[in-house]
Amino acid sequence: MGKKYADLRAGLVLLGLCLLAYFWLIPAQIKVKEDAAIGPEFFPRLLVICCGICAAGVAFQGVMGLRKEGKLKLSTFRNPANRVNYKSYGKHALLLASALAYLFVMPYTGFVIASVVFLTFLLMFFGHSKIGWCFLLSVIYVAAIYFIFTIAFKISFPKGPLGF
Amino acid sequence: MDILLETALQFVSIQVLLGIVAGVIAGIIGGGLPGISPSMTIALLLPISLYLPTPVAIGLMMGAYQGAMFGGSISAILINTPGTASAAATTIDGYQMALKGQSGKALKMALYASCSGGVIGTIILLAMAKPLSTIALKFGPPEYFGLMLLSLALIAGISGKSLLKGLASACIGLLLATVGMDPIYGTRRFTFRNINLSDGIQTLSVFIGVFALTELLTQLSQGRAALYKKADPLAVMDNKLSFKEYWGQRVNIIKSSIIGALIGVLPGIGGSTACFVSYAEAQRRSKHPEKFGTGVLEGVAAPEAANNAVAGGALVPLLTLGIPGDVVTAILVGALITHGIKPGPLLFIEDIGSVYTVYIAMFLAVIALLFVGQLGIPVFAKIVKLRKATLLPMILIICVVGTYASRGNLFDVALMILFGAVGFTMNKNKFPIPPLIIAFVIGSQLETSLRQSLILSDYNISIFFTRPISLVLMIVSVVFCFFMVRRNRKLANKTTIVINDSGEKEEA
Repeated sequence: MGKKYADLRAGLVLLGLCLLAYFWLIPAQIKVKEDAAIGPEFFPRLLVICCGICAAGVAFQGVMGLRKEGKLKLSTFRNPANRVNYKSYGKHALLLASALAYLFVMPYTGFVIASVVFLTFLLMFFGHSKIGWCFLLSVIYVAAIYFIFTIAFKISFPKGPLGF
Repeated sequence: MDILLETALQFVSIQVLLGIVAGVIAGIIGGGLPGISPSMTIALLLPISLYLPTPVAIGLMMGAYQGAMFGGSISAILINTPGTASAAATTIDGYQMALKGQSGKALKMALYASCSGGVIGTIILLAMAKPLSTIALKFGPPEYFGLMLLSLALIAGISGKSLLKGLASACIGLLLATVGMDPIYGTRRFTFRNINLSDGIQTLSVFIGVFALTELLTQLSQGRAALYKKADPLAVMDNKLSFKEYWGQRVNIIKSSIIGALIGVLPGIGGSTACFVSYAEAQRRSKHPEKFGTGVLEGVAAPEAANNAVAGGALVPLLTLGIPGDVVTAILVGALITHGIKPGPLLFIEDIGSVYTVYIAMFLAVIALLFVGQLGIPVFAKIVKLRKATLLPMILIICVVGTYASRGNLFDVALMILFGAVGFTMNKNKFPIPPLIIAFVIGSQLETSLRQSLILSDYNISIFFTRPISLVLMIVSVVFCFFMVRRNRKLANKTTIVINDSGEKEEA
């Protein structure tokens, strides 16, 4: 994907998010104090405006760059090479989803069981093929982490049916 | 002089020396583990210190303070996860050095810079305790705003070729800092009626998410085969730090230490601001500023010297005024009072021996750090020889545990994952991450001091230009910003042509 095209797209997306924040998020999430000259919404609004200006600037730079390269044509936007290849981000999405699932099950299974299963999965996901070795490493590593944090630093992890 | 000698003799004891070494070891471990902050490490040592004689207890505390400041750099350099908030700036170049196979060199530079910073911080504490605390007392909201603005102006220096992207990134960081209670009216902002967001977003969730998880996601793009490959033996060349290389950083280290100690004197600013300020100053003074962020020694030496010097600076208001500058010094106040030392102006008149005890303990802690760190570095450096397919999953577990440990809340971990995704998206679109981090760190203080100043002046902005310290800080910020923008433009003109994904030539 062309750098200038990527800048244009990123700038427009960020600008859209800023408009959304200004017209929907801030009014919905901050209770305006009528009697205050500078209320709680003042600073976030100021920041969203600044961010929006920067985003518009990034998009503008993208447009100018494309114009300079003679690529400011409709065909540039239709070029499949300039589209985001969502498939290439499948493994990233899977990793993030599995991490969220790990957090979700932790209160029910306990830290140790959830972590051993999750770490075994991660080791396989990142390239290891021997499940037995992955499981053994996970047990040793999670046990070490558990004892360091619970005994030395007195951190309490979610406990499962087995008590750890 | 007699009192100084008498106090020094208290330290000629195996018990005291062991106390300092134990403190340093505990500090390095605590600082190195993400989620275990220096304050938590010292708080955990506090109950033990109550049973120890005063010099041993103070030695233990000072050792832990210095050790934790260095410890944060270990995980920052090796796994791109700052162990402490102060080590966030070290991550930028430290991890890049580790990627180049220079983890040992980076760790040694961090150690020597930390020790040098610790010594300089102690000297500054010794020499300037009273005058500096007098200046710090004159700081009101407009002066703090000026100082925060100066920190924000540094963003211009670390935005790379696109200032606009750097500023947008900083705005995102500042917006993240507004989540939680409004500092003036106590109104909830962006909490989505979730009680976990009432206190704002946890610093570690942002730091670990945008640094460590983003890196992990980026590495994942390499594919399984590349991740399973053993570390290239050629990649661990040039891993020794020569005396010439260390000596070449002397000006950088001295300057960063002074910056660190001076910022440490100001209550509430914190080590992370000091580190970023010294990092940007090192970049500004460097002959090769464009190489910052690619793994250069200056980028490791500057923040590491600064964060250990902060420890000396933070003790200035603590000892002379009894004001704790941060959480660590607040815990130290408790420890000192428990041992019958009451910090404040009278301490220097009535109990100068106790002041000397703190000075000497601080100095010996730096020496102990040098020895303990030297022995530990070869062990730490072995981590990078592991296969990425083994190391990266382990890092993810440490990220989860570290974020969870700071508050015992799984919601913070979920936020960390979210910020990992945000950081990855920003990275892919070439938005720099460091401006987001700096802005997030100073955001709350910036807003508070801005609004307090405006309320004080009845909404008249002239308050920032009529007070001398504030005015000087404003002018310095503008001048600094101007030079940084000019330098960035020069750098932007030096473009490189690369072949993009679709096989076309483009500017990089």
